[in-house]
Amino acid sequence: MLTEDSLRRKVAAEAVKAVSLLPPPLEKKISQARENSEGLERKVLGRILENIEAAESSGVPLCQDTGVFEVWLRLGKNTASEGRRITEAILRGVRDVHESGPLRSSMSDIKPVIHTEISGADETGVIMTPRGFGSENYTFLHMLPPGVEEDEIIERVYGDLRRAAGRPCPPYVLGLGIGGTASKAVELSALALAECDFEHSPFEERVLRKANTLGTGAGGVGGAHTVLGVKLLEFPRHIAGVPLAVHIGCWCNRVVRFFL
Amino acid sequence: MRRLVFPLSETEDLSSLEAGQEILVEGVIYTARDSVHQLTSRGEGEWPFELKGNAIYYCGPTPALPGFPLGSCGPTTSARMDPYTPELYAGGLAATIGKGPRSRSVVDALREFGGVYLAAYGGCGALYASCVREAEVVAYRHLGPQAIFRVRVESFPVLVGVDSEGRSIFKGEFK
Repeated sequence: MLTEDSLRRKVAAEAVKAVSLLPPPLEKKISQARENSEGLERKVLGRILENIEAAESSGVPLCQDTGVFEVWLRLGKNTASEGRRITEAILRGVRDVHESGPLRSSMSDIKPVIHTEISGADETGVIMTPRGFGSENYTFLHMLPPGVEEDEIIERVYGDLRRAAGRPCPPYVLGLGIGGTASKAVELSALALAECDFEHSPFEERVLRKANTLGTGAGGVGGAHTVLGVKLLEFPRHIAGVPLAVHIGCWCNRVVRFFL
Repeated sequence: MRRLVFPLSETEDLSSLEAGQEILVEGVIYTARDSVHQLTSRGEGEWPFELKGNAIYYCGPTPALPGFPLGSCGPTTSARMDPYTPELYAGGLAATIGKGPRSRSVVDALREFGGVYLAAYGGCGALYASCVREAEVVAYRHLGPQAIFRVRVESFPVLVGVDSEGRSIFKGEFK
């Protein structure tokens, strides 16, 4: 079992990694998008790739908005009784890198948002996502009627993307949460950003295709690459309503995961 | 590639810039974002530089790493500064630098007063950090990352986002 001190240092190191290294599957998607694009959009994607390289070689954060840290803590059998101690260590580790590390203090008081679950797993898993507010500001919730059709859901997502236009740094990753309560759907849509693996289900593929008819393009300058990936996470639905939450992740959709 | 040096010289002609053109910003620019715009518009603060001929960069940097003058310093969303921007162009401001589309009233102000809006590459804070040669806080230090930094840049790449005739590179604005 990790001591609180070593846990705090582990969290701090992972937080620094989170803001300066992009997950490889996303970097690959951006690189492919550049190869398949032209004109201004191609130029924008090229600059984004230069930036990814600059951050990797210098350790300077990819984006100055190092965000609000949103964390999913899944307490396994090894730590189930120690949730409080671990939560405290995460808070301190995240504060440490804001006080003396390369992260910007963007909040009135540095405090990560932590979702804690007791899992049946042997190990304790942590997912950390720095949520920048250029994209977080474009988060949407729709309370839809029971029996809502897929087409209507896709139209809602399309409408949200049209409202966001080029503001939250496209090309985007889309996180969708459907079902549960309003708050559960929003949480799921945020988690979906972290879980996006670019392997699309038929529904996610439909959302992706429709979204890319919008023409917003990388950097909002017009083009075919408005959205690179879509992930849907679901919860059982109440008989009287279906919450749909839409999280738009900027191209710099940062996430780290590690075990304790 | 065309280079644009700030503050602008008397002979610089912004009307020759066209939306979609990539240019390199050189010289001195000033960061300012939400809080400074709110304070100055309410008359609770002043701009510590002459607006005429200068450029405002919508940016709140991260702390500098050892050996760097400034940390990650990409652009923030320009749209939030839209309500405050026309009067700055009216006051002689030459350019704003940020990310994403602008409102109709900002585009109208560019046409009326002959300014430009430069679109920096969103999320590219590490790339822009490599273009910074010097940086110092010149006002509102208590605002932390929202302080006004005077930043000397070299070969700082941007697109002309909206030119002085109101032509724009952005899709789906004004919605």
